Amino acid sequence: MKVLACYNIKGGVGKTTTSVNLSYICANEGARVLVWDLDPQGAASFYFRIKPKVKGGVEKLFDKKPDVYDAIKGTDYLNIDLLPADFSYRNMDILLESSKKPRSRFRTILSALEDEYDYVFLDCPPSFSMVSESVFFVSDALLIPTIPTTLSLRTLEQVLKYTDDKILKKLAILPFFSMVDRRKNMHKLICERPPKMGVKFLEAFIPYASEVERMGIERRPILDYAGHSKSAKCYLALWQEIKERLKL
Amino acid sequence: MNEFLLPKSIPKIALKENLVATFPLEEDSPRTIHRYYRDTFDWRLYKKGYLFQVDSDNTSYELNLISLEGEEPRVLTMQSQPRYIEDIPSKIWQQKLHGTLNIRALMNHITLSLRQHTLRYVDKDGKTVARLYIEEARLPQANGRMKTLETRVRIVPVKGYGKASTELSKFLKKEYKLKPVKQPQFASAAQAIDLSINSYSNQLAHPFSDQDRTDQALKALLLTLLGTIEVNETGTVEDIDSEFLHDLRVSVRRTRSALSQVKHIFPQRSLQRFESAFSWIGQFTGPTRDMHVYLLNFDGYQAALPKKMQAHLFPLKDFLIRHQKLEHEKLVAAIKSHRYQALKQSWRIFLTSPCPEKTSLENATKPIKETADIHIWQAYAKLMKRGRAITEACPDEKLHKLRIVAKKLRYLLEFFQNLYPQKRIKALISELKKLQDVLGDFQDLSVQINALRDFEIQMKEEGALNADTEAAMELLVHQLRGRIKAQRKLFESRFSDFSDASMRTEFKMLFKKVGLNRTL
Repeated sequence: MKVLACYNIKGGVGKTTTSVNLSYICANEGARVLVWDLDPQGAASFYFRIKPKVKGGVEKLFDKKPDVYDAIKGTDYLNIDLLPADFSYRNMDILLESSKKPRSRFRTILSALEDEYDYVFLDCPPSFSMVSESVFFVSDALLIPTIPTTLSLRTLEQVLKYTDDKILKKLAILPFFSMVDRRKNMHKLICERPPKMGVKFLEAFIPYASEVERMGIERRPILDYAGHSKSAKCYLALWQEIKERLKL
Repeated sequence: MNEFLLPKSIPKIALKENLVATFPLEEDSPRTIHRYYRDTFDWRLYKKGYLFQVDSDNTSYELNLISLEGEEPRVLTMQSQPRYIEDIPSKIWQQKLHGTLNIRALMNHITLSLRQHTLRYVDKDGKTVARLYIEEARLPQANGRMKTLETRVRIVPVKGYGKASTELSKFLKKEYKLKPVKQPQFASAAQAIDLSINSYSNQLAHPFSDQDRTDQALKALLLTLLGTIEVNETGTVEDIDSEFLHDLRVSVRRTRSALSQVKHIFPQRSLQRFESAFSWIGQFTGPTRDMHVYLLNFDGYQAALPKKMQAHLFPLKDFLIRHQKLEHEKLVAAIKSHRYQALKQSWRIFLTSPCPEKTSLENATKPIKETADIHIWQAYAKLMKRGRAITEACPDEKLHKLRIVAKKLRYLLEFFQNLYPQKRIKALISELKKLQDVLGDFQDLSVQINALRDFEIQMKEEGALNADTEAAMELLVHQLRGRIKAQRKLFESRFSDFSDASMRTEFKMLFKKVGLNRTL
């Protein structure tokens, strides 16, 4: 089972659309996929038309012997399941902080799912916290959608510094450009010559496009309602490149 | 399982209307599909607890790997029907199935023509929380006619939304008095066409009793072998999997071995005719089998070469595929020929005709146990004598002949295994098999070296051999020669294991009879 986390400390950069669309592509390739909506705002749950509700809340999930299966919901797609968001996730940090082994909490939950799924996508909340630290610890790769602007690059630098500080040698860091508007000179320049930050940006990028925004109305992955669109093709290219980089 | 049989008295349209009026259901367009239940010829996936179901509307193929043990199903859509594991465009599926399918082909065991109506139970957010399928299925029978199966109503819950499917299920039980059906669709279909699932076996375990007359017992055994030959004919002709031809040939070899080893049971004149006929089948099926073997070995050949040279071997693969097709055409013509069909017919007549009560043939009326004891003991004695004569200096030919002697003993042990204590006979077969493996590998390597040499010449003649391919094939031959030497060394230790005192005692105790003076 591979764990891929969509993460950025900035909000609104395309983490959830990435989680949802990549999980859909992955499932279409015959993999069994779980999306864990870690963000209390519950955007991934919304896209899959699932109530952001976990019975017993985060306390139940972080039980010593968690029954995570009870919380999992099937989506409209046969190979994709969702562990929904819950409003109590806003307290996840506090719970983890007070825990003796905060990092092992996530590991315990994911280990129980090892035989069930081939991929887990973690749709992360935008923050530096105990939650993100736990995510880094259990993930095989961080997928970091980055808008090609100076401020976004600065936050990416912060993420890189943060992950570099920790003992996370096996964690693959895969930043890619998201919400790219080629009409904007700055976007164009940054995409063509990404700054040297010690990690290689993926070649594939996700454009700023109305069909991506339509996801909020359609409440489905783009590939399900606009499979031939440019954005859909970009997500396919992104997944292809991720597989190559991670040798999946 | 939430599955029900829908009696003819309940029209499906009325049922659908009632369901839609009662629950928040959305109907998808009905679809006409073919549903294939595929597996290897010997049901490897089923044995591992999986059903491989493919639904197709002729434009795409939806693969469903359904666990019989409650694992979540897997779904994958592709544009063609997969035959081999490498045809499935998903690494994950390939990894999951590799250990089970290996090189074996998938084939249709059951084909259903299906009209499927789908109703989705949808919640306030437009989310599907349960699915209800009404499936009308028909399947072709051996006589070419279509048989209609009972219509099924299947409710599939969505994980985490059990309530909706329970409501639907309760409704069907209460309103229509439907009862859940335990037998799944594929099992009903198999039953309808008399297909026994997971029944294929090429193992011989004939239920003799000690006092059966040898001629009658042998005829029964040979009739079983004829059955195996016939069972494998369609798969051989359609070239579904190389294993069909392999099993057909094994049954032919077993038949020939039985006829040649056990003498004075059937009239000599009849036997000679059949012996030469089965030898002919062995001959015309040989070249295709050889090509199958080289193609099956191809990946191994490639892996044995340095990475840089591996691609140079592809012209050999093309050559093998081309010639396999040509040889297969000849084989199909031979199987469909009057000569082959007439042979089988007269063989069946011979085997099913009653044995004469009195006969001058000295072994015909002997109890089968006595015949088995004598022949197994003699074959064992021959193997021991020839095995001991093998020295480091003796020519390869002697090892090849020893392999044939060992094979004959193996067949005898397998033919008559039910006459002896199972545990003890199986232990002997297992030890003999180890010796046979070394002899077989030794023989295979010699044959492969010669064949590769012949292929080089043929490929040159056909203009299909370039310098790189020639160099790769030469290196391969060189490597195979090295393995031959190692195999010959291994023989000494295997034979020593096989001929140790405990094995000799066991063979003696089981098969040696007073009056047979040959000592070992």
